[in-house]
Amino acid sequence: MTGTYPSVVDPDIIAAEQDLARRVAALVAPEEDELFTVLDGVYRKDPARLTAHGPGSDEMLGFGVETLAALVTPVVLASVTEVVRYLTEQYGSTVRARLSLRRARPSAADAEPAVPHLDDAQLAHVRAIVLDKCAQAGLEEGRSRLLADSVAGALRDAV
Amino acid sequence: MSMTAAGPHRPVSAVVSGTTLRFVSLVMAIIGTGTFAFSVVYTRLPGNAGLSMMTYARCNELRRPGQLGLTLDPAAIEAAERDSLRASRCLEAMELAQTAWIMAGLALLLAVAFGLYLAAPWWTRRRAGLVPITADGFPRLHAALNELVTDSGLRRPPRFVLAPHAAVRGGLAFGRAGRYWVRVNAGLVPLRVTDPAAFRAVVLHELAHLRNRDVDIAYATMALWRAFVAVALLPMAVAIVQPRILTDPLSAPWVNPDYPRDLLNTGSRTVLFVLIVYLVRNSVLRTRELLADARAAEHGAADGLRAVMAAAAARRTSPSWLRRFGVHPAVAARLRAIDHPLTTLRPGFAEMFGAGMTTMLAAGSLTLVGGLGLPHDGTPAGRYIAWLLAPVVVGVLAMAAWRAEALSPRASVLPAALGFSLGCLLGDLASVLNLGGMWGVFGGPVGRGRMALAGSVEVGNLSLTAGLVGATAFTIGIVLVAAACAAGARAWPPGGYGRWAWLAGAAATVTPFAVWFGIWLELRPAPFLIGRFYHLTAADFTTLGERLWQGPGFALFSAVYPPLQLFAARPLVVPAFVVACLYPLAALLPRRVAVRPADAGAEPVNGPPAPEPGPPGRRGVRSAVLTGLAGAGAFVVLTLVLRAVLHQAAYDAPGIVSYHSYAQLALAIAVQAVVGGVLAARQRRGLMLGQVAALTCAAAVIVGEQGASVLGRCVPPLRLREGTCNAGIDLAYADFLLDAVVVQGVLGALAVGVLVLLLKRAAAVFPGLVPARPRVRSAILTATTAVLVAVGVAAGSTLTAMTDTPAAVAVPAPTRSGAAVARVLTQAEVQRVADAARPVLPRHWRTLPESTSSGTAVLDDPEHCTALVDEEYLTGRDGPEPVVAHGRWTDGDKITTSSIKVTVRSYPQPVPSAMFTAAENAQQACRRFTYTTGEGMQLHYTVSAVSPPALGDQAWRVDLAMTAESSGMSFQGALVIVLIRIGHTLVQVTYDAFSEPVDEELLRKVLDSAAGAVP
Repeated sequence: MTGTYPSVVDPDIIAAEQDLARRVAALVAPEEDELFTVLDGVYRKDPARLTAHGPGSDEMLGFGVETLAALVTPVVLASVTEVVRYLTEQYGSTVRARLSLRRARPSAADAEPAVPHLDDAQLAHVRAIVLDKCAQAGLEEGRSRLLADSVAGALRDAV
Repeated sequence: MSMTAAGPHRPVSAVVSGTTLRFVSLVMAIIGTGTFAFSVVYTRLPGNAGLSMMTYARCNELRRPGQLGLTLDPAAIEAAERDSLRASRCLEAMELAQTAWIMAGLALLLAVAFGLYLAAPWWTRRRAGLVPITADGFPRLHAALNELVTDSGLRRPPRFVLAPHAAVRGGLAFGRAGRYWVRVNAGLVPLRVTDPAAFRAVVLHELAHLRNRDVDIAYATMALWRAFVAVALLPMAVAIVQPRILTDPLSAPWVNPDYPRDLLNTGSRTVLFVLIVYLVRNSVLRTRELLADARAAEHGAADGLRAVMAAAAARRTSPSWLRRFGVHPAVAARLRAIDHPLTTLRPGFAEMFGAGMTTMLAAGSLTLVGGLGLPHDGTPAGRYIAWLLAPVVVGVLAMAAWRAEALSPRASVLPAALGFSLGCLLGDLASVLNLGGMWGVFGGPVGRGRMALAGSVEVGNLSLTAGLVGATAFTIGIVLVAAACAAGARAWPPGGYGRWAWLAGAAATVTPFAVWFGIWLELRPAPFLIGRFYHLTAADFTTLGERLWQGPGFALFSAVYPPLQLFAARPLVVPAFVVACLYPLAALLPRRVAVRPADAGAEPVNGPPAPEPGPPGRRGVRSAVLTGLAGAGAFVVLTLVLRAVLHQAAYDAPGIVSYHSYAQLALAIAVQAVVGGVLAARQRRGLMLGQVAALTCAAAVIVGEQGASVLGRCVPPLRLREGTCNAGIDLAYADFLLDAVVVQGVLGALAVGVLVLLLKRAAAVFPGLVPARPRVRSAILTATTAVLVAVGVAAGSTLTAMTDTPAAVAVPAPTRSGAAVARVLTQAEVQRVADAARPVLPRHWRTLPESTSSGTAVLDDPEHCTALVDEEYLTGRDGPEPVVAHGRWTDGDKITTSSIKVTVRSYPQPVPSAMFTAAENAQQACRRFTYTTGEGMQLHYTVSAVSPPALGDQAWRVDLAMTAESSGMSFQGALVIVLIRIGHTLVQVTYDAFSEPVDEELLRKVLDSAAGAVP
């Protein structure tokens, strides 16, 4: 699994990403909820490092039979980043303007979503992006589908 | 998951594991080799190499190893020891400076290691970006971890940190003394919800590392190793690859002909050392992992551990053999540790082998530094180092014994002891200090030709026979210590006084072993000394002016064993030996009722309960004491009978008193051995009781012998020689006898006891062959034991007889005049004679080219000395020129060098004796002279007459001692000229030694070979 963070960082977009990712992670991996803040912080600094495997299995005074865990939160973070990038490419200034408005007038968030309504094709593309990320991360198929549905559902219902 | 596979609940943590001592051994090896590395670097410093070489050459001149040989002359031995002490003091200033350098290097190494140790936790946290797990940030995770801390029994909870980048399901214990952390991988955290048993297993495993004190030891060792690599190993490697790195770094080192050999030798040993340390470290860490698993299982993590291991086994990808060398054991071994925790205690051959290797690697290096830095009072450094290492050795062996005892069923400690001994012996060979041809127990150039055993098998410079002797002596010592510890472990149930009893056992056996180890370290590089000590016994009598009467069985009676004699003669050994023998019986003292861990919780299944472990009862001890006293009574009767027989057979014969003393000693030991055998055959814990009986017998024998002596002096039919009746007590002889019978008698009792038990065990294998009647069975056992002991003693005395004819006591070569051909020899024959010496020279000697020195030498006393210096006695004969051939060899072009030149002249007429008269006159006329070489160097010679060898028709020898001075340094040398007349042939041998003594033995071999080659 690899991931790169956009070189141009917009605080509003990051906030939106975090919000989306937290909601999705709580749905698909509630057992990781305590990790989200830390993992998100690490991901913002160096996405590639978070998605690496970490220390080997024969560390002195380690456990010795460590196996790679299927941590979902890093996949969620990477998927959401890609999805938001796709959305900003699709809607550009519209998304940024609406996010700015939501920041200036929080009451507007309920009245108007950050992105315009997504049609089925766009939602299918979002799902494809997520599934692709899941496949890169080696996530099992059922969980991948759940994650894709969660992202698509969150965009359709709440964004 | 069910617990059906689990064994009985046994607190494996209650038994000492011994891995700490193995770490200590490893640390000592690292520190020891570090000191060696610093000494190598020291010799590469500008000016040091030359100074060291010159100082060693100058000071070693004070030694006289060539004259020591196998001489039995006490005055010569004393002189040699005095010379050795002078040489040692001569080296003191330089060696102390080197020691100061080494100590400074060591201080630097330890400081760096300490810094790395302190910095390691910080670096671990920083590198991995670890995040503290607090109650605020991770409330549920924090609570779960604290709960596990309580379950693990840790008094002080560690700090938990999260590794966000670590997706694997694992953890890590790390930290330093007083501050410990447990890293929880991000991948592990979800398991708290999805697989709580696995989460619990991993965390408890890491907490067990803290509980077992693994973090302190492992990280300290790692810090030391990294410091060693940076501060010692790398500089040493550079110094080895480019010896002139500090003086002339651009020069090509391979110009030195010794460079490839040194590079290969030291380089390969250094690589071997690194490999050994790596493998042993991982071996110890694997044991710690098993113990951590076992402890975690004790605290309720067994199910989780099994599940994790099973899952890991199912998806294992790396080859299993790789696991054998990693820091974690194979899954199968870990599952065994979880289900049967006590199996982790089985003292394995391999782990003890590794511990032995590191121990002896430490011994080699520390002996070097000890020799440099300890007081230069003539005491061998090995004697001090033995005291440093003996606690580790004995501790490791005691640990193995206690672990073997804790197993159910009990395991034998013998394989562990043999593994440790083999590891020590191979570690000795692998030590970086042992250069080619100087390999520890296999002897070296110094020992060549002086081996203790006649017919010694030698390969190159190595004596396989001496190696066998040294290895056997060492292994016997190791096995005896292990046996003593095993007896203690058997007598003291681990549940009773636990670790204190183990420690007491190690303390009780450490003194005798330290002395034995010290003797072995001293004799190891010169195994011929073992043989030499046999002759010193006879030399004592020579000093007293007493000839030995070699009556019947003298060889048998005089079979005194030098290492044991040396051992018994050292201060404190006899009382310490007694303490070691009686230590297991201390378990008889009142103690609280103990429950053996192996039996705790285990219900008897079938049949009667196993015999109660522990020491023999008081009845058994009483029986042993009575048997010992009975043996002493038998000794008194037999010694009086012996006196009566000797009175009849050899009254007043010279040396009969000594003969009787030896016979008495042999008799006492034989009685003790019988006593030991009887108790082994009849009593439970027979070996242990045999020691009690043998010691009781020893004490009673001393008293009985004094009484018998008084009777012998006062009752005429018992007298050995004329004398007056007196009732005085000979305390000196009593002391001598006590030393011998305590050590040799107890060991004899043990040996016969072991033999009896082995025979009984063998008989149990073939029950059909064993007679049903107890009396017949006992008679057969007694007879078989007696036959085997007789065969063993006969073999021993034969061995002694072989050593009584040392190779160095040369038998005079037969005179060849009767057999020599009465004609001038052909050129080929003359050349053959000249070349005959080559095979007897050591391999590293090479042919010396013709001298090319030019210039005019000046003699200060030509009137008296020209005839000798210019060898005028060889010239002036009328008639045809002789057929001449030369052979020239040298042992190198170092600063210390020797050369031998053989010149053979064959004349048409017999060589006249007048030539020898002229040579003698030339020698008489010239007492000393100064010879100024063409290069201006002044050589001062002193001439002395020496008895010629008994070779040929006539022989003559002159010795010239030389001193010289150059650049403020003084040098010494010797020149020996020998002439041998054999019919028509004159053999002239010139031995020139510069800054090293004349090897008399080698000279004699050259003379024998040349004279013997004359047709």
